[in-house]
Amino acid sequence: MKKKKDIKVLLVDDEQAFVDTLAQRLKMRELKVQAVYDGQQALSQVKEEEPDVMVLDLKMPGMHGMEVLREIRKAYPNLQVIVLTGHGTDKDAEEAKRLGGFDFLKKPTDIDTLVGRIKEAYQEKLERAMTAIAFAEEGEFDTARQIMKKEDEE
Amino acid sequence: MGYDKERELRLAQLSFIGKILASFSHEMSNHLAIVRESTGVMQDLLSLGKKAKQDPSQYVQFLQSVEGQVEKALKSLTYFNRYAHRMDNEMSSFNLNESLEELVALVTRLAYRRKIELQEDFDWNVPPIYSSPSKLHLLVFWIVEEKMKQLDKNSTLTVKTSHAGDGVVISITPRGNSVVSEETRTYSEELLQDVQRDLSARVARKDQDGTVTISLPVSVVAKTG
Repeated sequence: MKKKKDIKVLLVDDEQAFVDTLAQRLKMRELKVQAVYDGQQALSQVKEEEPDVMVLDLKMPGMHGMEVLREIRKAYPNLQVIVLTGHGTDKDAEEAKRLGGFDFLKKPTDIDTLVGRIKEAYQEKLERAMTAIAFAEEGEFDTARQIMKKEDEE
Repeated sequence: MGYDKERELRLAQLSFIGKILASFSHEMSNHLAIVRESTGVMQDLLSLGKKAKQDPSQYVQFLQSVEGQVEKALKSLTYFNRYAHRMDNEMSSFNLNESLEELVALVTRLAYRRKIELQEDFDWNVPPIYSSPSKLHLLVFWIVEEKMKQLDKNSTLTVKTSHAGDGVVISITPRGNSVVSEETRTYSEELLQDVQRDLSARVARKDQDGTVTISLPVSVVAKTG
């Protein structure tokens, strides 16, 4: 398993003062952190270097966080997304889960809780990757939809 | 069921208040989140103790961040408090610019999410007016919201005040590319007419540049029903 320092976290939030300070605190906890300030930047950054875990705000100017989550699920099924928002309703939480978000936290959140969830999300990513490898020996595994496609079924 | 003014008006007011509350509470949670992280990072630095080189300027930076957020939050709270008190009396004498100032401040976050900038251009010589402050807020909000929905990103919306004779004028002018992608009005034409009547206001739309003007008398005779 990777050391904590090797877990790559991407923070996405339009509140720069918040996200920069949070990035600093997570780095002190030996996570490898990058911060971007809107949804478009997040997608560009993921394309350049895929993180293990994304911590994503919802209400951002331009691209809404749910839209970012939807795009991420399609193209990067193993990337785990934790929604961290100051504006979340129960409906938002349900929608984030439905779209495959790993967790839904409300701002302001306790740093140890966040780090704990990031580590669990990373663990989930590893388990998914291992499952995919195991299934790949028998057939093609669609990680995006978590289903196995046997060759004779196609 | 036909048009019921009181019912529609209450629903429209509740919807307006709900939007302002949601936006305001979002802003407050952001301020608190920044305060929490800034104090948290100072705790982190202190807990490192002698293990890390201590740079006092770091603490000053984070303390300034906390102070800055508290000031911003207090400013928003002041506007929010003023907005809430506009509902104290159906009719009152008030400063039009101050009333619009708090509305613009509270709607700014809604505009920001659409990447639209709200600007003020107030004539500070407009006389105090006697009218219904909460209904006027609602009317201006309707127009601002409608214009925001019609504007593309990176646009501006200017709220201007002026006065002439016995009247005052509020102008709402969009600048930028327009989009037509959603239902822009959240109120019925009948309700708009009724609110205008209650305020003795006249809403006029200029096709050339999309400006909407609201003309109001300095003093309105109170109406009931």
